[in-house]
Order: sequence, then C-alpha cells, then structure tokens
Amino acid sequence: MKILRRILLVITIVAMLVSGGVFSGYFMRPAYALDLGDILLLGGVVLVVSAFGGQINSFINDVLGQNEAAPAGATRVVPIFSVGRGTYVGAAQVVGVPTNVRRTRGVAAINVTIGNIAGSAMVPISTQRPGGGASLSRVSGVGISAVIDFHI
Amino acid sequence: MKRLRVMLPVAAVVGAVLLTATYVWSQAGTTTTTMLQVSARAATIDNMQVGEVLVGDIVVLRIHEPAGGYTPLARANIVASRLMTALDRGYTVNDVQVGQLNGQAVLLMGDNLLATADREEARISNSSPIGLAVAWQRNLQTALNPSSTTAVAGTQESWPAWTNPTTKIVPIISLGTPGVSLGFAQVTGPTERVAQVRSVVQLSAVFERAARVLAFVPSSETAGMNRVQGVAVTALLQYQLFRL
Repeated sequence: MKILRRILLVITIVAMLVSGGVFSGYFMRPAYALDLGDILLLGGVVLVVSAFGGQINSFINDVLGQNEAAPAGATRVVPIFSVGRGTYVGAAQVVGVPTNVRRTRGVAAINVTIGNIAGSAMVPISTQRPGGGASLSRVSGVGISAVIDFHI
Repeated sequence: MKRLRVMLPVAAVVGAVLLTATYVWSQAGTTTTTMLQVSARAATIDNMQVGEVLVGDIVVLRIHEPAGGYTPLARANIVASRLMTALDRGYTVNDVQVGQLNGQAVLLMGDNLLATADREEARISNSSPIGLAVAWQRNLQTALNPSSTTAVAGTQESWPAWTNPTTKIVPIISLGTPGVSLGFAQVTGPTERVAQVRSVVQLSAVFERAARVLAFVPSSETAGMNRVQGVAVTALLQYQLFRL
C-alpha cells in the first residue's frame, strides 16, 4: 500500500512539474532574432540588404513622407558596389518607374577623392556587381533617392 | 486505508486535469484556419525528393535532407504547421526574422521557430546557413506581402519615363543650415523637370541605431524643400560627409 501511495504521489508531482514547465515556458527553447549589426558582421552588406532592404525602404519613404517629399515613383533598396575598391560599401534607395526599379539589383559607385572632397557617380545596374567588361548593365530611368551608410 | 481511498481518486483527477490542460494549451491555435493558404508538398528536383513549403502558390522554402528521423516532406509539413500556427496567433510579415537557436541560423516568426537552416541544407543551396535563412526570410516576406521589396512611395502622380533625359549640377543644402552648401549633386530627369531644380535637399536619419540614411530631394527652391518629381540624383560631390 505504501508503495502504491508513493507511486501516486510521484505521478502527481511529475504531472504538476510538466504542466508548470509548459505553462511557464521553461521547456521552450530560447531563440533570439539577429539584428542588423549581427547580420552585417556575419554576411556583409548584401545579406543585410536582403534581410532589411524592405524595412529600410519603408523607413526612408516614411521619413520623406513626413517631410512631404515622398517620390512619386517606385523605390527599392539595393547594395552599392564600389568599382574602385571592388567591394560593397553601403546601400542605396533607387527611384524610378516600377518596371525599371524591379530590374535594378545594385548600384555601381565610381569614386574620386581629391583632398577633402569626395565625388561619387552612382549608376543603377541590373546585376549586384558590375561584370568584368566595360558594360555596367545600366538601368535607364532610375536614379538615387538616398544612400545608406552601415559604418556608424 | 481510508485515507488512501480518498487520496487515490483525488491524485488521479488532479494529474488527469493538469495533463489534459497542458495538452489542450499546447494545441491551441493549430486548428484554426488562416486567410493565407499555407501548405507543404513533395517535389522532385534534380532527381532528389524534396519537401516544399508554400504560401499560396509561392514556394517559400525547400527542404532537401532528412533530419531527426523525419523525411524532407515531413519536415516541410512541420514548418508549414508552425507557420500556420504563428499566422493564426496574429503574427504578420513584419515578424518574419532571422535568428539564432543553439548556435544555428533559424527562421523565426516573432520568437517562434519556423525552420532551421542547417549546414547541409545551406551547402545544397550553395549558401551559408545565415545566407539560406535570409533567403527563406525574403521569400516568406514576399509571399506574405508581394509589394514589400518594391514600394510605390507616392500616389499623387506617376514617375515620368526618362525618354529624353538631361542632367544638371546643383548645390546640396541642409534644411537645418540654409545657405550652406554641403557639396554638389548631379540630377537627371526629363528636360522640363530638370530645369525646375534649384537645389538638392539632404535629409539625415538613423535606422535602428545601425545605419545612417542620407536622403536627397531635388527641390525647386534654394532655401526650402519643394520636391520636383521625376528627377533623381546620379552623382554626388561632397566634402567627406560619408564613406562611400
């Protein structure tokens, strides 16, 4: 009888612990979201733009809208590839007619620095980085609305 | 003996109630329907049996490898079920994010695990685990909100096609410091629109304390901001304000 009583007691305690654990979330595995800085560190600019491009695009449009300066065209955030450095250096919001904006995959930046003056010609292109040839695969009818610097 | 007779049914009832409540709670939300059609199916790609998760008719992720005793299709079914549960609980496209769980890259909806981008899946997709998770995230965001990647910002008029574009160099000004040029910008657009541009106004903002945004607005005024639509910046000449 004593054994039976102990077994019942153990079953009751286990049931209470299991229920308590589930209700309190103790058994749930802790997952955490990666923020922009984490993804920049792990995967670089292209991955950040893939993960956060939509949010950054909406953010810029909100900022412009609050200043009554939202562009009338379609917008999109794409990575900026520095032709001189051969690497991705930031991101740009491009603006234009929707069909051309959808074709735009990146912006090629051609930089010139003279003393404290920095110049950048920015060319919206249909690839994420320019090809090896002279052609940049320029997307016509699309310009730059904003640049995004991740090094802050 | 008498006490035991009383305790036995009480303990049995308490245990049963608690376990039933636990089961019901853990199943909550999985049986309700969602407006979006989430499903899983088997497919053959390159002679390989894979499991696919779909939102509507868009494939948001593909599982190639069995794991934990589950076939790719069974894994896809689990992911679809988790996604349905999350959507039923009110999570939206804004809650889709990439995260980490036990050192692995994962796709999350809020804090809820949807799928794990393990090394084997990443290798098959020619990507890194984090890259694969980001690709899944982008696919899911697009499926849940097709307009998320390209937004039409304004509605007051349409953006003109640049059939006969021209360019012009104008000063870049900041609204906070009128009269001070921060540099010069080349603007491009239809001839009649470019002719209206007198300056480019620079607006600065910080996104999530991790990225500085400089927005450039072609303006018809030299001291204020009055956007000229259809014109955009194509080159910048600035004093070292940002590192491009």
